Amino acid sequence: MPLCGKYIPPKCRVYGAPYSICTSRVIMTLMEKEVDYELRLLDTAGRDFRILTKEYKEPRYLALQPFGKTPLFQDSEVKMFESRAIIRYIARKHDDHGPHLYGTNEKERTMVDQWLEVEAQNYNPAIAPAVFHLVFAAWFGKIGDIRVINPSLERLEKVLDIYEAQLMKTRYLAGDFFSLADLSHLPFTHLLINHAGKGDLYSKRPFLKAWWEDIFSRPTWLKHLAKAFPHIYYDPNE
Amino acid sequence: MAIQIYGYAGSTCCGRVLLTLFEKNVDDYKISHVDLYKREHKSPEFLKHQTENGPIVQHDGQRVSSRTTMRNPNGIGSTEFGSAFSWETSNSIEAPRVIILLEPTSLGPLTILKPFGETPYVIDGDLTLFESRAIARTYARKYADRGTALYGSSPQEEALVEQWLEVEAQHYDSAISKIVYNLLFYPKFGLPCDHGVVAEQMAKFEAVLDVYEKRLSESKYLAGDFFSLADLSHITYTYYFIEIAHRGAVFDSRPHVKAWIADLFARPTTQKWLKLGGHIP
Repeated sequence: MPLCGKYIPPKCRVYGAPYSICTSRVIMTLMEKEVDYELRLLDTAGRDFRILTKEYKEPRYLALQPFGKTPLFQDSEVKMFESRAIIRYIARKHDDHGPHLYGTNEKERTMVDQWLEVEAQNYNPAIAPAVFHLVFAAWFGKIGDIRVINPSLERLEKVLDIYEAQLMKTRYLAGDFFSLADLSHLPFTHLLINHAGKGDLYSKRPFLKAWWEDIFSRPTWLKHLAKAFPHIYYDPNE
Repeated sequence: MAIQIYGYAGSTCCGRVLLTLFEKNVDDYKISHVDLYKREHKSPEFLKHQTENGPIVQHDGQRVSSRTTMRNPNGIGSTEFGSAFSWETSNSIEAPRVIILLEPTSLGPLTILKPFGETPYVIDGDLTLFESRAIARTYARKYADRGTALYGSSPQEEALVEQWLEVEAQHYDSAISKIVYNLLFYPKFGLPCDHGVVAEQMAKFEAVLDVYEKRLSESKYLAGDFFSLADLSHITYTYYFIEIAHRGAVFDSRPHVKAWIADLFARPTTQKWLKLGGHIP
């Protein structure tokens, strides 16, 4: 922070932890759109023992986010929760600069909405149990239940086949442009491939592999990883 | 040009799309009834139609439908169901994998059938869409200038509509759909109903309803004092839950939610959908 000069407060505030899945979605979108934000560190799962605040249990937080979860997003006009709704709002509000994460016309926007729903309804329920038991369990000193992991991965494989078929047609999920739909997959998929070692599910499907390598190497994502897991990743572009 | 909807008009997800069109006073649609219980979506006529109007997937030279797994609402843990949900292969354990189609078809070398094997499936001009909430959003936006303002009237209201639509998709739907599937749909497909899952999900559902009760004591509808896409999205499953599965007792201790639901069901568009779907005469 400079010693002189006016302090301009950030335009918006995000409550959450940068290593959490849903908060990452919001942070990635803000970074893609180059919007200045303030992060209020809140960890609902208690992953980082250094974060002692349990602000998400307090009534004034629950008044804004009644489920007591993160992320919670505030800017001068809205206070909202649900990460996929927040990223849609950010993409629409800041459509005039940065990558067009919501497409440039109605048809593209429809496709983004469709594949974002696919992510929410088909991909997420398949990958989440696997990542919880393969990765998060270890963070809390537990062992993952293989009776949950294996069916989850089988279900995920079927979804990945469909993605493979779609990615044969288009460069990214919603078309030939990087969008909210692709972005939404980054956090869980990164954990599954790089922390749980299930990269073979993706590398044996060539178009899926190419897509993943493309979105994973986006400079904003690498920058976000370096900030979220500073003891594991460094930003190669710095 | 007419919007082609493939599905069963009275079903929950198709209902979402139809209710949106009704709210927008859109009459230019055609429903191609797909009888899921008779597995009509696997019949040669349906597949042929899908071939002509939508892409196909070929496997080992034979035309097959998409690799479908009915979205398993029981989640993980019901491993004994596994591939029993794969609608196309009642005999084999493994559904075939999608492979690259090498021979050209009239639609181009590589095509994919409506991938997840679910309804509704909408063809509107050259646009092929699935996922009922995405379809509903599309039409709410496309016809923003007519009918009910399903997205509110400002970016802030739109943000809140999106928020509560996601709450419905993530919190409300995940509980209620498992309950409705177990109590109503699985028996129709000859699958057992898992009462343990029903009990577990009912507890989660009640917790979600407490949040809704608090919200609806502050505003008339979810996203504010205006009816929106978020409220609409709840109607179909809630109807099945209350009127067909007869589990409406959970709402009795939550007066605001109960009043809100009564309001949603009393809407003329809801009544129109119920008649069209054959739920009421």
